[in-house]
Amino acid sequence: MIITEKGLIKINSYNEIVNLDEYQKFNCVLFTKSFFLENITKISSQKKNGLLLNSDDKIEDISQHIIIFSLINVRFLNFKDGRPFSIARDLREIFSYKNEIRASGQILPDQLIFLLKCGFNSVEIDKTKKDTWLNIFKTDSRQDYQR
Amino acid sequence: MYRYDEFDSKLVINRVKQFTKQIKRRISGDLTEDEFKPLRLMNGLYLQLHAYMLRVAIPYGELSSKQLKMLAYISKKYDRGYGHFTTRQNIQFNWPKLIDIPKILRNLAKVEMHAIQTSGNCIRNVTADHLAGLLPEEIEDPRPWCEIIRKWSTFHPEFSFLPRKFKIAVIGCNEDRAGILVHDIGIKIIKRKEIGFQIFVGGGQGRSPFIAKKISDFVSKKNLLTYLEAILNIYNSLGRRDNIYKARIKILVNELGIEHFKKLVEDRFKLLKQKKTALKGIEIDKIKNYFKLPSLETVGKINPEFPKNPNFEKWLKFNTLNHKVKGYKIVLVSLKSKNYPPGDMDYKQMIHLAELAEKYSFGEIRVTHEQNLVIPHIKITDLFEVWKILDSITLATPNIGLLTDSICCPGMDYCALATARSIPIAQKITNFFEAKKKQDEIGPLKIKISGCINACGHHHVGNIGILGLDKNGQEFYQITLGGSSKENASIGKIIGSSFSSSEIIPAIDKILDVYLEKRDNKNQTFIQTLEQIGLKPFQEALYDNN
Repeated sequence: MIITEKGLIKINSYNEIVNLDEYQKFNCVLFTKSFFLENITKISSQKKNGLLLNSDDKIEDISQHIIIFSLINVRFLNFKDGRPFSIARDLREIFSYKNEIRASGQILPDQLIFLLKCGFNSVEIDKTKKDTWLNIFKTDSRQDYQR
Repeated sequence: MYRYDEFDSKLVINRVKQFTKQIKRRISGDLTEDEFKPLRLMNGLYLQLHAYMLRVAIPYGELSSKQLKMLAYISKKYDRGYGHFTTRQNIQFNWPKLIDIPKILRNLAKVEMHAIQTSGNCIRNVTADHLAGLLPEEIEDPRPWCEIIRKWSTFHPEFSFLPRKFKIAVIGCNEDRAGILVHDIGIKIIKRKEIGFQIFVGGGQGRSPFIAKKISDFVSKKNLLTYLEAILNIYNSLGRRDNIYKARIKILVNELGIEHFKKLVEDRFKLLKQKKTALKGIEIDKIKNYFKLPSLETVGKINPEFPKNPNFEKWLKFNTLNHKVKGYKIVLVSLKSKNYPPGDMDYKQMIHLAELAEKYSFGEIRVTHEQNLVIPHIKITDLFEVWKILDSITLATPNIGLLTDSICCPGMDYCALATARSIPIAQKITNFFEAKKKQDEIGPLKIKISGCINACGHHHVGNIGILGLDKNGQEFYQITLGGSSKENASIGKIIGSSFSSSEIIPAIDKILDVYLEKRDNKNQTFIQTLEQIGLKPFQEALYDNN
């Protein structure tokens, strides 16, 4: 389940895959950076390709390929580890990535507004916490000093 | 001084609402303590040894009389009648109840105050020279720059979950009264063809002390925030997160080396250079307007005859400085009297001081990095009157810069991390040396006391540093000599094995005897003498019992 930047709750349509057979099977796929680098020639632009990054993954070495991804999903290893905020900002501001950026992993609902401000479009959420996320989306202030 | 506009007020009120909801979620169990911790810390709320502690931000140490009165009200109503001023120009309340926190924050918001980012792994309250805007030799007032940085860093979406806390200090004079070289980023205003900034990075104390290294010799005003953003971005991406004790930027800078770190920052800066953080002259001027001097009238008599009073004369000598406007003095209010722990002030003192500042100093007060206060603009002709009032409320201890004006952390009396008490040591030093009148003979000297290795009492940069340790359940104190947080910043050297709490005062006394005996003349400082003679004569006096 995901919450979008418009405050909508949707089903996550990406299938996390680990090998090429699975890659062939689904049209909407999510794979790690190492899977991508190993199978770079077999990635089809006909599919919806989602790249899964961890907090500690670097993006410089795949920056020339990012146009192929319809989604980049950055997985928080821990909500206290703020590297994904910088990853999203870099994707937007340094690498001009225009498609969807999603946050997943261990995130607090209280981080939602910061995520959206850094360029994330959606967040994978625990469905039991749906109401907290929606409430924070509606009530947390978006006011800030940054440009 | 800076005044909130509607935007600032709304922002703070929204934050109070948000935090109030977070507290409710914590109480209901929706948030675990592990999840709640970073949220409460970003709102200045610590869990200490006995109770919660709330740290309230005093941006760059500037307070109004109205704000100080509110702090007095909060001390009385929600705490035990006093507050504790910190080395980062903030104030701490040691006994609030969790349930009262929203009420305290709402009261603070009424006087344009808050506890935002006084704690947690984010950019903390920006500090400045407490004499900003008051001295003729100043290149430019650092406070507007602190305010610009404060705004930029408040709720920064990218930099609110850094590897570790992040402290920035700004000065506008050559003399460093803010300890910029022991900050994560130190900023010094300098004049080349135009006025800009020298930037230092990677200083800090704690268990691995480092003096900051220069990363840029000149950053223009326009590019200040962009440059800071480049540093923070590199730190957020590369700073260590595997070990809390190695997570500060000082470790990253030291591990990479300043040249490598600088290259990463400069490359990043180039990528960001034309981006949105560039400052426009009009924005800078708007902020600067808030920091103009109040209209100080020209005073006729600048050498008035004061009543003969030795206590007043001593106070005049140690606790006042020349103001850049003729006819005025800067008054330093010592919070290091023998009756109170260093930096503590009770609510009655707060009210009286607020009233005094209202009457004599345009309602302005400042907090210093050395845990004292400043009343910035006192007419020379009012000095005797001001002294009488301060003296009546135990705020005229004439010891600014002297050895009893020590910096001290709360230690084991309050802090959960401490391994020894530090406040009683500071008080013993005060009582002992005041009685002996020795400190006047010694002159300026910095003693700094920390109750544990985290060094909140800045012992590494004390001319004489005292570090409290635990040895099998007993409090012991290690002495370092030669530290300084001034422009010649250095980390003190350990003199030898540590002393028990009953031995520590005689040991300090012996060190001072060596200094008095060995210095060439009265003007030779402790540091200069130490540089000249080395540690050995001090070690011999302390340890050579045979």
